[in-house]
Amino acid sequence: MSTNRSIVIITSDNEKFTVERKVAEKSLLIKNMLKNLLPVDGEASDSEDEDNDIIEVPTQNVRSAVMKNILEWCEHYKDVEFPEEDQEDDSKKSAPIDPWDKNFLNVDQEMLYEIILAANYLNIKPLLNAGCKIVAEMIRGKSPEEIRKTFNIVNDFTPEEEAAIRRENEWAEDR
Amino acid sequence: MNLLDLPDNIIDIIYNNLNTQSIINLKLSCKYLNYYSNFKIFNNIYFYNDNNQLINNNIFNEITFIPYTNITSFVDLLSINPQFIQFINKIQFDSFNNNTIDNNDNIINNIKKILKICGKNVNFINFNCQIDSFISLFDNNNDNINIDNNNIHIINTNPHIHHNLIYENDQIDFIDDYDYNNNNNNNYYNDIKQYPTSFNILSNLISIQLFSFDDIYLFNSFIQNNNHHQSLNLKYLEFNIKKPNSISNLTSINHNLSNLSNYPSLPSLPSQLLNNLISLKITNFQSLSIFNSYFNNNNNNIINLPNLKSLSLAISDNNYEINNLISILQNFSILSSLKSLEIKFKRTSYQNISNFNIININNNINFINKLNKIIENYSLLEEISIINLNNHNMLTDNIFKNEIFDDSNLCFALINNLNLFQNINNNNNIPSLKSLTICLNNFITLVEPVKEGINSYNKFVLTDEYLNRKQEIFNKLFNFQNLIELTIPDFLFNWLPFIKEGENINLNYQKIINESNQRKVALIIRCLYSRFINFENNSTINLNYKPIIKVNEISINSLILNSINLKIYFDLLLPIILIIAEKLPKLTYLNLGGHSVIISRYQLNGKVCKVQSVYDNWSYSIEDQ
Repeated sequence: MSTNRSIVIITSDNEKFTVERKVAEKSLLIKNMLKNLLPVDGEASDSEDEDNDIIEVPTQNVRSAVMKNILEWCEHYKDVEFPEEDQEDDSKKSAPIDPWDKNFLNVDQEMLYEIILAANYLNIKPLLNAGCKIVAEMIRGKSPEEIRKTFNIVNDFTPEEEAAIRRENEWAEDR
Repeated sequence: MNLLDLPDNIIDIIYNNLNTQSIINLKLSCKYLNYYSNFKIFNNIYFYNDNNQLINNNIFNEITFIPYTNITSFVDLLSINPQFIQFINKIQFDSFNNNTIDNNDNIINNIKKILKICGKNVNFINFNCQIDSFISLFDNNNDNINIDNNNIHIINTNPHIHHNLIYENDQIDFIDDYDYNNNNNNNYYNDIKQYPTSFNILSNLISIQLFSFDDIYLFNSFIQNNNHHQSLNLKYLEFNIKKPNSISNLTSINHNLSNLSNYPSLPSLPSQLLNNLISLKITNFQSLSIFNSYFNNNNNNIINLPNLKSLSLAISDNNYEINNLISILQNFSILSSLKSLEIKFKRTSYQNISNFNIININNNINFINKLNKIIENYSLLEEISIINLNNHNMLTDNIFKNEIFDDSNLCFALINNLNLFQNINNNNNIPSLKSLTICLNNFITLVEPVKEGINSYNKFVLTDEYLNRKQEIFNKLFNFQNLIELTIPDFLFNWLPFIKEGENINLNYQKIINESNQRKVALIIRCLYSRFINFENNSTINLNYKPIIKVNEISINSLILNSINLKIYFDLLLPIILIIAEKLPKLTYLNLGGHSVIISRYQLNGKVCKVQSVYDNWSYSIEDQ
């Protein structure tokens, strides 16, 4: 049966990961690719040989260290049905990060950004959203100076420019 | 890699998870984020009155809320830095001509300035105000204001409904600070006649509420004089007519407005106006009669509403009225795309005459049969709201105790006979309903249900049969397994005390009363219920999706005076919130008597992980435990 068939994902540094189809299909990019190659009902082929074919999916933008993490996430959620994007309501935006995701994304900033970029490229919306929420959490409650420090941002304002922007924001201050 | 290296679509998602204050701090961190933040922070501006309005910050993260106390600074910003205007897409002005706002003239002037500066550039302007307040913005001195290219909404709010009407006969007296003599609208029509050309700016009008005869006159003359019915793309129409002039008293039992001959005659409105209508709200019976007479002079004509998605009707038990309504409904075409239905019912007579009861039952059944016919397919219905506007004190006189058993009250009759509720029993189908608002009594009195004794101001003697029936109605709600939103305005005083006897809700109501002090509980419940202050007179559709709600300043002050911390009470209510959330697996918005919460669930198993107040600073998280 094609639904149980394994998929080989090849990373940018040519490492190969063999995973179950439903794990790989957490990525909508891969799911759409496979849709044409391997119809889910197995109607494409009756021959036994086909089941032994290796379906390789190249992912040029993701290196193996990142892919390892991505596939760990996909494996964890392989049996969870996520809502279609247009069915997501506003409350999802305010929903807290799943504790498992929070723990999973407890990595250094470099890896966090790479996971976010990979989730974006592979079209894995729930992982992309969780990653962005982690970044938002790192911003929330911090002063501009603390934000610069956290994200290694260079202050390119002159003192006069910074003072001018502070004045521009007077309308947002509590009275 | 750096945060600034992420592509724009990802930066966008990060911004969507941030509130205004965090974005302002980002703005100050570097030049790139300063520029990028402008797209978010100025996109959707909402001005509100921070004296008596609460912000729904949790759902409406993408809106930048600005209190009127800061409007001058905002106008200064735009005047000095016109480069920000290009980022503004939508502006909403809420309640700017409210008597409770200090320095109202200053606010009006600043709104005019904003419209002058950027009225042409903004795509969407929403005026959440009375129509005369809106028109007063466009007097002759302000010819420069041009908002002709925008989609304009006027959400007409009624400032004349006062909390005093809700608290009638109750134990704690509130001071009536509303001076009707100084706020009468007798000169209203004369005032607005001074602005005959103002309505020209409304050629793009898509939404309007008509609140008095004056509004209808204006609207009608606008339509007739400008021949706008040809081009107008009116989508949202609300008739909320109470009297020829707008001050009303909804509690008057013997209103005699059903006789149309009392109304000034007007030429009928062209029925094409309704062709694009998405939402029709008719908030009382006299409005329905007026609607019918202005859109349909010939009673045999079908009122075509091909695109109608939302219908709201408010009716009373008056025999003449309900029979008229039934004949009006007969003229409605089949509402094949209806998604929202709201029915409000109000008793007008308080006599316990068995004959009268039978007439009521027959009328109600007739009405529901007509409704079942028009709506045809209830599986498309996503939202229903059933409101019983009954300000009858059930404690001192129990003549209507029977209504929860029979069909003499339209709300209970709907629960018993509407196809939507019937399908659950007959076909075992799970309805697609996503949103339910149900209020079965709006007389706020805290009661302790007892099995023996005498009814008193805070004790209600009941039989097991009565309690079982209450429990049965409560359990019916759990059949709607697809519910995302559940609102029960009267929950704290009309459900909670009674369902504690049930087996599935093991909540000790008396414990709540004892632990938080009876008098304090009474205050809390009134304070929370006052958040529904407009729902009794306006529509309850989308009740939980409002970015702003009005609150009762006096009850808030009472809480402060009595040093009441709502948090303790919310903690006590938590078990029932969790039980309801568990029984309704998709429930996300729950509003129990004004305590409105968002329920978040784990992706993996759907279990509740967080309950967070929408308007209050309260939350419960499994992680925190």
